[in-house]
Amino acid sequence: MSRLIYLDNAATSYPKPKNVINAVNESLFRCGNPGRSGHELSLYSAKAVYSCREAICSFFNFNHPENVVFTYNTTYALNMAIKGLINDKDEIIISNLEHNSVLRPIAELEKSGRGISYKTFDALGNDDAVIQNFEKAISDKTRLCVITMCSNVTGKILPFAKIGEICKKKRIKLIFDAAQCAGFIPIDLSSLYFSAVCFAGHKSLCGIMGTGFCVFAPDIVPKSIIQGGNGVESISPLQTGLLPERLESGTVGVPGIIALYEGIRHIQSVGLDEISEKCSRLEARLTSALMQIENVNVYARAKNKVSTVLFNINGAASEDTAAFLSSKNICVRAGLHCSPLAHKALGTIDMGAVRASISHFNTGEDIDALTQEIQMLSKR
Amino acid sequence: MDTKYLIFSSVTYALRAMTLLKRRGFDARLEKIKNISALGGCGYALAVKYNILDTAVEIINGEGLRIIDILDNK
Repeated sequence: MSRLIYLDNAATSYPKPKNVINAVNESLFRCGNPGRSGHELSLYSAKAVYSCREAICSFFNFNHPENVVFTYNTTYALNMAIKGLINDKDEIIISNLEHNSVLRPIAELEKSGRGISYKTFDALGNDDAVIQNFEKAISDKTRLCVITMCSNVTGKILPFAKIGEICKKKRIKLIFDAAQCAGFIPIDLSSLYFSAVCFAGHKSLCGIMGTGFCVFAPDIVPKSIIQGGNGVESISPLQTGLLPERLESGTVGVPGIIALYEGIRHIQSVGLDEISEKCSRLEARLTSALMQIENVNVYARAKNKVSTVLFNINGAASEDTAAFLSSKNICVRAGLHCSPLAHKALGTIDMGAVRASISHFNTGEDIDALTQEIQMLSKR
Repeated sequence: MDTKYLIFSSVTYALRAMTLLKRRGFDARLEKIKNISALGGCGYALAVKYNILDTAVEIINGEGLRIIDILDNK
């Protein structure tokens, strides 16, 4: 069997850095339930969880560790932010690059009988077109926008800072989905307008699966969507307390949070610029090579993007291409990537597409191996 | 009586206060309080020496953190 080539980093990053693996292992020996007890294991855990809140603040230039709320993934964070900030009769604006983690909770809210509605705008064009479409979509009824910073299908980075400026001016609440770009591009929360930003811990932040978080702006008071024990005011039958515990009912995933802390340390030690530069170089190499193959269609090439390449061999089902690559020990993801709106916009809703997503652990040889296999398959 | 216990709304706030104090070179220790009526239960306290109490309170309040109570005994 040939060596494993992993190009599915947009789903979850692989491999995990050694310091992440070691820290998770150690946590299983050293951690109790944080914020509950007074013994050494519980206090150790509480300090580890808090250290991760601080590491997140340091990495994203934010000064409110208590506004970092841990979740199990970005989907959970987005549900928490959307349902925690929405009011009856609100109109919501989303882009046509949103993941089902945004579309489905909002579509569900629209059916809830609360007078909530949503509209989409086209975000496939250049930044000027995206901003123009976004502004056109906003109406007097718009109270909330939920926008991805970066498409999980095409890798395109949206002009999110400009979108923030528009929402700030119009006093519209704004939730960002940062799952695909945190750990790849710099995100400065101190200069960005937002109500909430939702993150994955296990993608380009190099943590482990089952870890996400949401950062709320200091003036935001979200409703809790899950109630239960949180170590605060236990005597009260009602969910009380401030952030973050108000939204962290039940035991948080301490090994995953420790992994996230170590993942951030790994990125800082390698350097965000170096990661971004290397991934962009590999992405350009792959895009250029695939475009030279007859019968291969590379979709949605953009200037400003993370290292994701979307393609199809003409006439071949994307799942067949991915299965063939899997048989060669090359891991990619095919299908709709839980983002039907984006595939509708790209014209690939019927067959899906193949997504190769690169990390800084990949090499030029990985890219060349994928290209060679696609070249062979396209001639069949 | 040379230790005072600063009570916060949650362990996160207690740890934030502890971090602030440690960065300024002051010692503070996270402890579980036994006096659950002080918070309605599940509370943590930050134990600080009496001789730095005023400075500690000033630093913590200066960062906008709310101390719910200051106890002589945990």
